[in-house]
Amino acid sequence: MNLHFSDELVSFRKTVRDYFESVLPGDVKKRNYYLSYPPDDDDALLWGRLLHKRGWSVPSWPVEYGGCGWSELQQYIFEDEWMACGAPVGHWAATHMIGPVIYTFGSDKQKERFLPIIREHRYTWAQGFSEPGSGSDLASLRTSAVRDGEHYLVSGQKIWTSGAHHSKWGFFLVKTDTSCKPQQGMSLLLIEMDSPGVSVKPIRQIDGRAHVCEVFLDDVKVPVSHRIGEEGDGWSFAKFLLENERTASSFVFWNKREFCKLKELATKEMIQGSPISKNAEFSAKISSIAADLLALEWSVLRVLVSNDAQANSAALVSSLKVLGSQLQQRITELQTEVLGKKALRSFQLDDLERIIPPDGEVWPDYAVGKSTIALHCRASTIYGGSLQVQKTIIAKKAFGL
Amino acid sequence: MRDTVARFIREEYSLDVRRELCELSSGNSKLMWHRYAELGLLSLCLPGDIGDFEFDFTDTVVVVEQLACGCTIEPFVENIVYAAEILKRCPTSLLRDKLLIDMADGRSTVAVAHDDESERLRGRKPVTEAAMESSGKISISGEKFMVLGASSCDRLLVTANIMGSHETALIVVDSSLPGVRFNHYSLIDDSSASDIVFEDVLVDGDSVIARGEDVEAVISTANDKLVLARMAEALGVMEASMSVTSEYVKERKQFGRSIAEFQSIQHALADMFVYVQAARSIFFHSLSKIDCPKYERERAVSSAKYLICRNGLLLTASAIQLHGGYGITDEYMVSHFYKRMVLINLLCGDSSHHLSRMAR
Repeated sequence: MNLHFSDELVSFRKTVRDYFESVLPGDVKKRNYYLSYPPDDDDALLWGRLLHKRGWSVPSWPVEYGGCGWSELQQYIFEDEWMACGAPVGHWAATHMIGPVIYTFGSDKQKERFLPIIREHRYTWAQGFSEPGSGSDLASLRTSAVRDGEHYLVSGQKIWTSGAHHSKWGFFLVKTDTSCKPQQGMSLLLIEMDSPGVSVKPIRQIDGRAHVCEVFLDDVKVPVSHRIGEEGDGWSFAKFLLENERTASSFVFWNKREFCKLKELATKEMIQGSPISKNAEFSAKISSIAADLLALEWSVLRVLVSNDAQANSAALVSSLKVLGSQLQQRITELQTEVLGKKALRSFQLDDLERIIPPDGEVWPDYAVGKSTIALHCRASTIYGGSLQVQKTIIAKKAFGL
Repeated sequence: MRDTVARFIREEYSLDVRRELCELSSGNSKLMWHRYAELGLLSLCLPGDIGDFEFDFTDTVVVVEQLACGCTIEPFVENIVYAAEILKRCPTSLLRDKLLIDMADGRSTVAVAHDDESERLRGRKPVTEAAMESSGKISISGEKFMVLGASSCDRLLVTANIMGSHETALIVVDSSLPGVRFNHYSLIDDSSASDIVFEDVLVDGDSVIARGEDVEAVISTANDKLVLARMAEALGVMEASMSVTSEYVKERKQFGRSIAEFQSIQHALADMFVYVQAARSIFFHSLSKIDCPKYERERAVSSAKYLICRNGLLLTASAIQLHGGYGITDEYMVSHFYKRMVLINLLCGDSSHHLSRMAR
């Protein structure tokens, strides 16, 4: 067992880091420091385009579709450096979800039409899966797509669709056949978001932002040519898509970056005249997180490089999500605790130029946005398969229960 | 009074009403304040030497808890607990007496501008000084940070060092006086706070309603009562969170059944029950010590602060989790309860401050 990165990988890391540092615009880095997650959509696209210039916009894709042919570890290092340099989180819905579905199951026409758009980060995509009555029980979804000649008429309602108010396209899981088992009656449709009958309503959330939306579909005409694969393939595509990003849901690189911020805050904030980093209680909490973060990072590495028993791998992936999402919460909570009362002030993050507080001594700029992120992270144990769902998967797959 | 407030919340303070109040007033709503006065809640501020009847602190915290079940945004605790408890212990004077009567009627609202000893300030420490002018007036200069309840108050209760001495003065200052500059801002739970600068603010000599060692003792007692009131708020928030969550999980169906049937959900509700019972118990303990000598009182209050905040955060976070995606939205109470709990945890000293106070 080799427990160290090779020289080639070390030098690869340097190449990646040098490029990132040379191209990341200062204002994007600054905005992202405050917003952190979810990032500004335009910044995320801009960064994607900068990556595309270097041929790095979809490195994990097959080479024939624009991928880089990198090893798992190169991929890992690439993502680590991406987060560390302060760049916005990527637009995964496009590059890691619908992109792979299209190149794996799409027709040649669909690949020709949509893959370049995703590769070039021309715009964002919306994921239309969950519904008000179908959260954890996604199979119970009801949005219907009725065939009418060369079109489907789609009606229903989706919810928790991130960024739908900015997206140009969306990929929707719909019911094309109600006579069979739910999992066999679904299809995946690509829908243009400005189609007549589509209306989007942002939902105001706990962090004061309104990034997720409800999407209402009212007899929307969708060409049959926008269906991926065959009718009835939808559920298996959804499973493929959700299982494809095995380690991404750990948010390990994001966690590492936020942890660095936490340590920085702890050196700047004081308690009884000394930096908080020297306070026994806070220092212990920080060390505890450091240990869990190491465990998370190495768990990710193990999943990437080992050929562990298949039976365990779904459980391992779920455990990454369990560890990673809870770490997101612990790190961002502790950031607010380090700030103390100052974390209670709410800043309007949609106009960063205006919110930088005038009094740096009392209101340091690093106080901006911290409570917003911590509040947003209450969702990390809910989206992408809630904590309860992940634990059930582990119980079933690791213990045969 | 408990039932009066519970009914007021049930019938007049729905989430929709609360949302409207937040939008109209950006925190510190006065729109509902007259209702508080009408219901007699504000008369809790009156001491025995003014009203016919002196309410017990126990009565006040009952009201605070019930108001918190509705996650109300009015500055009840800031006025009727913090400011009132300070004023109650000041010697009687025309100014002090009139102020308390005006507060009970709802005509005046007061914010206490004091320095939080547990605050972690990186750069300068805020200082406010009061100097006697040759005219007999007092000139106040300095600053106060994050004063809750200040964005709509007409009076401030300001603590200031008396120049040339080690004494502290407690001074009533009209918010509209020249030289008083506010920077109001929102807090995460839709309430608001203000940074205040005093620039040669001139007040009459009789605005000083207390001075000397007495001020320290008065503030110290009021601070601990404030903490207990915040703990009563926390209890209200915890009870209400548990209650709405229990309703939600019974209603919500996934996989063909109510999610309340899943054991993991049932256990999460059971955990909430345990958290709130423990919190209430330690609350009673600290209430029993509120009139004890300072050392004993502080230990009791700090134990309660520590435990109730820890349990409260766990409970309200779990309440969000059990609501799934809906728990993250503004449209359900649980996200507001959680934010109120975050606020309560970080105000009046955090866990680290109280743990060390317990260990003294």
